[in-house]
Amino acid sequence: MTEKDDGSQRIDDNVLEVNYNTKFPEKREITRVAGHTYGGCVRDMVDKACNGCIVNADRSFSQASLCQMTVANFIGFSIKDSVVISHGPVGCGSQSHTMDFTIRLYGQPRGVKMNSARWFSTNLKESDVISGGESKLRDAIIEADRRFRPSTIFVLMTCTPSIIGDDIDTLLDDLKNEVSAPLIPLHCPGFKAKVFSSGYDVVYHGIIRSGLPLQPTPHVDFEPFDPSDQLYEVKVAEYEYKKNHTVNLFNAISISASDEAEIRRLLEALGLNVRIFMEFTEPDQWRYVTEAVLNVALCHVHDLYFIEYLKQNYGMPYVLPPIPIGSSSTRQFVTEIATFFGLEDEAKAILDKEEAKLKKALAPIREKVQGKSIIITGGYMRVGTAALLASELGMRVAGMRNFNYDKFGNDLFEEVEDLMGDIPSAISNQSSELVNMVRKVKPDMAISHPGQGVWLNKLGIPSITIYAQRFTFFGYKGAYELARRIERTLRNTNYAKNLGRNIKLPFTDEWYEKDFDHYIVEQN
Amino acid sequence: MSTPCGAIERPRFSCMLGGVLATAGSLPNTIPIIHGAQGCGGALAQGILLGGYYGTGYAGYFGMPSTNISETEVVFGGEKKLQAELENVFDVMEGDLFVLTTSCVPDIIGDDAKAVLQSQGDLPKPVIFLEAGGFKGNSYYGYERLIDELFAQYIPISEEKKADVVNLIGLVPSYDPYFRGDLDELSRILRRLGLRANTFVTSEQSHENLRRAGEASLNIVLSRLYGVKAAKRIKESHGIDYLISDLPIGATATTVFIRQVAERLGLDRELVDNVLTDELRIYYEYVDRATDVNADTDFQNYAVIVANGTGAIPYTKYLDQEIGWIPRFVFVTDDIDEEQKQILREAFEAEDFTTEPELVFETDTFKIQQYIERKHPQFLSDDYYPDIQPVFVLGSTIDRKLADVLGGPLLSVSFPVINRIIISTGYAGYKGGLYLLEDLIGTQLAGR
Repeated sequence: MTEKDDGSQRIDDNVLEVNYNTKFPEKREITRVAGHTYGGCVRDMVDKACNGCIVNADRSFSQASLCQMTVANFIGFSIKDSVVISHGPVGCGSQSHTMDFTIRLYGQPRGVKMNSARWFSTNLKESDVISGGESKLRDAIIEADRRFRPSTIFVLMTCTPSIIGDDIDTLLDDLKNEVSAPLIPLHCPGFKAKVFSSGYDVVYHGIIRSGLPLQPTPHVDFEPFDPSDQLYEVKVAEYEYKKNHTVNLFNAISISASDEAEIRRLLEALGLNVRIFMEFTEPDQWRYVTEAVLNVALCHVHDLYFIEYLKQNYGMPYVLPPIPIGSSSTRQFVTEIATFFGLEDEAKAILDKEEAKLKKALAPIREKVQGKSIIITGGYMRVGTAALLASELGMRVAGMRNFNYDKFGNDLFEEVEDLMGDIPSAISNQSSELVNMVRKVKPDMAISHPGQGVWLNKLGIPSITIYAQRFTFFGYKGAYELARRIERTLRNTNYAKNLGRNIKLPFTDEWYEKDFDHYIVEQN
Repeated sequence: MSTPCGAIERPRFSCMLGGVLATAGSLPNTIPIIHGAQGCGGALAQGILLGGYYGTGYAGYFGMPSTNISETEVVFGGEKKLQAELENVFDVMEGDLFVLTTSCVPDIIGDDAKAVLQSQGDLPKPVIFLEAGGFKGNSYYGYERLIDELFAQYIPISEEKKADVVNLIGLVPSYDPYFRGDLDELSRILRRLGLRANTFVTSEQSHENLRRAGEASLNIVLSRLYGVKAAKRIKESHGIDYLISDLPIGATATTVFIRQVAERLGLDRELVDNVLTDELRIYYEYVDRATDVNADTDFQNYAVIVANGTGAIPYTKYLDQEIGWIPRFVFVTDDIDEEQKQILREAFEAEDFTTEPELVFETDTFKIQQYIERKHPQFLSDDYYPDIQPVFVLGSTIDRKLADVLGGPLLSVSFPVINRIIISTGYAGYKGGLYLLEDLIGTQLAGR
């Protein structure tokens, strides 16, 4: 926290308050001063994120949401050949089956052969709540290791064992010499964080705490150069050259193989060596994570926690460009990386050419969609950048709904405000608030997070997902593809229209007369 | 044969709350209210979705009111949060019935949710209450308890029973993935016999069906395990007799089922005979046309069935008694006690199978595969051996690996069903038997 000239407090931009040495990871409400509840417009939202007030809101009426356990769980599966053990009652893992096809199908285009989603539930029952669940967990870990010889075992601490006080850290420590897989504790009780993207940090915290090596091991991963070798200096120079032109990109399970390929294409055109971590990789590959000179998160909502750790502990710098959706953000993304490597001019030449090509391709699409209104809901980086792309297509962004929000989005959302004015922006994943707002705004279409599209369709509004493994969103290829999907969606809206005409919504007329943020209350 | 540690690899059910939410969210105009952490509703709904993409519906998934209690409430109690939710929920949500349920966190920290509900005084809409902490049982138990509480707290006791009204219970939304098609078909056949069936959870039902379920003269439980306890209690409280039946799949089983129901209700013999004759005639005209492809390609298979306690025996019966396949292994994947296992064992032994298959209780996905691999000579010897080829797996989508190892096709009949959407298809009754035949042959034709 710093004091500004006018005496007001302002939380420091782009600073993550993290202690990596604690047993329990801290929630994002603390580390990023992230908010989960807000209704208003962009300017005020950004201001509240600046002065820290964004965390001081809650609801006096709320609906079901997601929790950090689900997020941590899904990432656990995306690590190659992992096993996830859900330590809790049997319901906490029941959504895990969905990852079975996700990882198998979307490993393929990456050239990674993923196993089925392999997981256990410790199936805690009433008697375990009284006597503790540690022995069940111990047996499950040993069984999982023996049965599958997995690359890693993630142990998810759900609400129940967290409250009854199961000490999994001591247990995992004890088991270290009994099992071959690295054991990674994921402390993610759902009640602990309202900002459920805290789950991303939970996984990185677990990886860091597990002590997995993040540097190649001499004589295992490489043979050190021999100084008496005649070619010693040449070899060192070659090695240094390669490393000095290597950038790490961090992906996420929401990012598609074609997204990765598009960004790889642009960066490789600059002569850079591009590597992608952590999803669809395994711990044996993580030892090489430090063999690069720059870390960049494709979406920093996911990976800031880890690249900050790599900076503090291995001196690896990072840059924090926005997620590369739409021409403006793609340009920023590539330029920031290019600048680090002193390749601005080369980048400008490539980007100018790509942008001109895209502009030409978008022109006929723009003709068809301009003037149409759109609302966008989901994770804030995607919401903000998709809004910029919609604006690029001449569409009117009628509202943005972010699942959560923090100061790391301010640069992006200030750009949104500059371009589109002080448009409505909420922090919400509440279906009642969404329906209330959409009924008033009546957009022509929406881009929405999975689980929300159904509510838009019920209202007669067509909607496409804000992320998907099947499609490209990133870079120039992604901009074109997303634009075409928008155009296609608007071309025939009969599915949603028919549904909207024939379905009854579970909300009262009285609710529609209120403002959508009616139940949002200030709290300390 | 379940894992000695009590942990389960890839369990095919969810917790008590999961069963309550799947069921409450399927009742007409009914809204569940969760007193719990914010993720319970979302995560469990994502699980419920895997019963063939059984979606949000009227007020499921992100539509469910939930108190979303956090760290503060874990320390100081969550009753205030619940109070606020109850004060506001009726202003926002429109429903005929609300089901207030707790989850793990308030049950452990000891919130008295019932007292909070009662302190609200007269509520604008009926609310029934149950504690459903996930650790109290599995999704089938949640279903059973909700049906029980519906009759105990909401459905009026009717002194006058209507001879032509029956209730169908026992199929759990999503966890019995074909429940809608199954119930629709059984209702259709019962209608032909002059009966009206309350199913509670299908689209043709109105809230009135639910309210008047106390007038039924018979509860038909379509599962040997689930809904039975509720039916027994309803008999005591509402005086409704019950009939426990296997889920009838195909002509043979459905004819037996209809005869049972007719006998219990004393239906007109001639009417029943006429309906059955007509249904059988239609059924076999369809089967007749399917016979060319069947006969010309030898589609008879050995079979492995992997299903819950409700579906396992009915699917096996259909394969053996209806279409003349050779079921070899029948896995029941539920977490059930010895008494429940004995019920299924007895039912299984009472069946007249052409070749007696092996009934195995196994909750653990990997061990199902391991059981067959260890038992079967094709994995033990390179001599000639009586293999189980051609083989067909009727299981869950997560039995893909099992089907691969055995070298046969897979049809997803049990939860989770991820590789197809289920909308109105069912496998029960006459029409269901035809759909099942269609899918069993159709799966083998894929790729043509």
